Amino acid sequence: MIPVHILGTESFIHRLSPLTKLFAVVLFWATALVTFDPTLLALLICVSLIIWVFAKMNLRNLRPLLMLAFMVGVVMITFNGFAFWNGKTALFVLPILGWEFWYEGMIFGLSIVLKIFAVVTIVPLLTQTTPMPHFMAGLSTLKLPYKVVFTLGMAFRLVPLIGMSFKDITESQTLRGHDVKTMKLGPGAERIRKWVSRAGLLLAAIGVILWLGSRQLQWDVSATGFIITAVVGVVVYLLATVAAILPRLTKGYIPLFIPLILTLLRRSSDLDIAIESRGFGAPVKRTFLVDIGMTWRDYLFLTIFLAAFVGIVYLVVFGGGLRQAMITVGD
Amino acid sequence: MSESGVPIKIRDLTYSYTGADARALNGIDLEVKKGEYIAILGANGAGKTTLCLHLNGILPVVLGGRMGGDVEILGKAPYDQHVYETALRVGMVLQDPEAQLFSSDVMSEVAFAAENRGVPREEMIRQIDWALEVVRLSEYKLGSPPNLSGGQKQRLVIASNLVIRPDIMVLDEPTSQLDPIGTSEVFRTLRELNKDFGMTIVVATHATDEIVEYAERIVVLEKGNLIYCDTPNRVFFHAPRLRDAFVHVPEVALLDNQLRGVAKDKASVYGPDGVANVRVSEASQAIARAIDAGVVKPNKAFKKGLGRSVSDRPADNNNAQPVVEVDHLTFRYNPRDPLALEDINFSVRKGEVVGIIGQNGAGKTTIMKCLVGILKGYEGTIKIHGQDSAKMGSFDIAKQVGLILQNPDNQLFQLSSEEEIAFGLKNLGLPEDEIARRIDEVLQLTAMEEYRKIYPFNLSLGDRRKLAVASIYAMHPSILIFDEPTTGQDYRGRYQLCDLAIRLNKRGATIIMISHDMSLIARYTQRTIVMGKAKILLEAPTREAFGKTDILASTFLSPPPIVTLAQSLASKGVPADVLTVEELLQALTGEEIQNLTQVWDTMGAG
Repeated sequence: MIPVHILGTESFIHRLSPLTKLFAVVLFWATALVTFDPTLLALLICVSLIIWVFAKMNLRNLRPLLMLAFMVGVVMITFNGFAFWNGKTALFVLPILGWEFWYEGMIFGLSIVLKIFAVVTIVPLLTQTTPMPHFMAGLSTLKLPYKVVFTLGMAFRLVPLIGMSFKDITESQTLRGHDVKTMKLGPGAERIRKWVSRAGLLLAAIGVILWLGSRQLQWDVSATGFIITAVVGVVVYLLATVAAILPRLTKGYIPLFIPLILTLLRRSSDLDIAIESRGFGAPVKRTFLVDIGMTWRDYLFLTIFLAAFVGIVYLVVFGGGLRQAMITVGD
Repeated sequence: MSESGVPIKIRDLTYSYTGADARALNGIDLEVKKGEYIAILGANGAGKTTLCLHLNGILPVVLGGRMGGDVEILGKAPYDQHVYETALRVGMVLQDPEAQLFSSDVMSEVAFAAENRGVPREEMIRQIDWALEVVRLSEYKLGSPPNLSGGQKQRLVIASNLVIRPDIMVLDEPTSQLDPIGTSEVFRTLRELNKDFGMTIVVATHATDEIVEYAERIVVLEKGNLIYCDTPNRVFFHAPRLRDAFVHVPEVALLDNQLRGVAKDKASVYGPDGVANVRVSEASQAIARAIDAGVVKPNKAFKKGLGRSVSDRPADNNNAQPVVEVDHLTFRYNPRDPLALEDINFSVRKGEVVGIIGQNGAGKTTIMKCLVGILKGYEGTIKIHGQDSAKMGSFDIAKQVGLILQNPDNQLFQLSSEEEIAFGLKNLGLPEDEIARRIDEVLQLTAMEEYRKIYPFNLSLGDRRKLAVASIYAMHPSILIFDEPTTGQDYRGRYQLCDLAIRLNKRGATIIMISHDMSLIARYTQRTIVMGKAKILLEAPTREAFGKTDILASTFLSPPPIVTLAQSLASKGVPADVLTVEELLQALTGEEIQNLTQVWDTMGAG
């Protein structure tokens, strides 16, 4: 068999069949989305990071995601800690307000963040280690019609193209004094917008605090009004934010879509001719340059992956978790 | 006749696009023999693309339309079968390589056609290697298409068609977006396919100076009609008729036509009647004979400035302050990239017409983008009318510098030409009556009054370019930059735009023209800056710059054919510093013709 050199960083993971990686990602996602057990989710993330290392992917690329997860985590843990509906174990009580912080709420908030993190970190296993031709060949092996697969591939191809075209058009328009970056509300309107935005935030905060307080202190009032207040505050804030970029959207970006769409239509027309001229759609069994057959690497990976996966799930679901497993071992 | 003898047979072909009343092709009769290399010429809209698309069945099978007559490709009618069946024997290469490349790597791109055919993998790999070797891209086998140059991309498209070894290769203006290197690479590849593999080549093009070296036959279309079909020498004998059809006649052939006219009964010294000299080598020998026979007498004191040449016209005020000053400009796109500009220093005076030439990637457009503020973060200074442009906002720069980009479509998005022109003026905050006045002014200047209410994208490419110029000029910038004004243009379009630039120059605008069209630069600029590998290699009056053939050659440029012709006859007393056909004609015969390339009656003298 004549080997085909694969582009990019060579690693064990890069050499896996796209179907193997797709299977691993789908299994990973299904588990991460279904479970709320933070131990299981944390172990899934560990597996994902181990795969990152084996794939020679730069872990520094996780930094923005980590920062985002941290911020979301703080919010989710704090919010759920105080607002959890089924709290049994209070970790502490806030002085003056007398609000209880529930252990169960904290765990719930933590599991949400871990869930998101797990789902996102496994995606590069597929996207960063699988050249598009391999991915398309893999999808075709799953009996998806090639026209569908090709369309998906072209969509990915178009994304940077759209970006480049939009940049060219924006630059061209700057030459006629149409500088999108400078488009904003007038000074008076901007002042009003800022006040409205602050008012919205304040309203949302008041609504949330009153709602939490009513639950904690078990006030004999309906919480609906407080929730509505919070929601209205959030909506006002969002509308004020949109208003800030409204001039840029309406006067700035929207007019640029006309040449962009026309450029893309022309390109797609040429692309249509190009692929037809190269026999696209011929009624023969299509072959593929890339060889995506399963090799010993795929079987090895699947064996280890499934073993680890099943082991983790068993320990967590049936064995009382890792803590219990360690206690058992210690015994 | 057997299929193999005449692979392309077209009988009385007529065609109209869906929804169009006018015919795009009108009774075309054409036969192309096996292994022939033919070129199709004609103005934009003459029917070249339409004819090409009939050869592989895209028309009418994919794009519809109304067709009459017969087309037979390798014994079969393409409209009676699926395109993928015709595509097995006929390859197609279009104008824009970016629109035809869609894979993430070179090998996958080339493999696409073979995969669609179900070619077994091992055989496919052998075919890919062969195709890449033929187009000389084997070293880029593991590379990515976006990282290739324009010429390499177009050769990759050729390889992508070549992998299934078609009998016929059809190319629709494959070099219109390429620089001279890319153009010669593509034509050379086609010649090798033709000579070494017996492939039948059909190429539609405006690059007549280059194609005469390769094509065995030229087909000329005018408004859907076939007006000539013969060897290049015989076709270009009819230079005046071709000029009326807005076909770019090689300047050498134009000169040949004029010389025969002046020589009258002694015209036979230039060769047989009905057969023009279209290549520099042929013309050089013919003129040498004429000099030896005394038919022409070269005069080194020839009249300069003929042919609308502005090369010797002094700037309005030679002592004026520069309007553009570039000092030690250095720039790279990303920290790890090589320098895109390295210590660039030049200035442009008020009222000058300056040309900047160089191959793709030399830095020409990068300089202009720094100048208009699109690119920032450069080292050095750029001053516009004495002000540091780095401290100016884009709005202030737009009021002083107008840049007409290569692709005018990126600058058009209103619903009518009138609104398009008004767009920039409204951004300037001008009152309504002034906006109306300027709209009238520029529409008249660009002879586009009849297009006032027309949707811009219904205009031809040439008219869209003029509209882009009108929209920019309406803002009355004192400096106008034309970036590759002739890309994709036919003969009429390129000269209209350049004549417009000179007209604006006479009204006081300073013009900077970026191009790799040497004939254009020779005719329309006073001073030329030659760039290569991010540096300025030469800055001199145009007439002097084209004499520095060694410097031009170092950046893979060569003077226009007419200049090369004059230089080849230097030993016969022909002045080597002519720039235009008109100047060389005057130097040889004393005949003064102001302008052989008149394409725009309304332009007049100014």
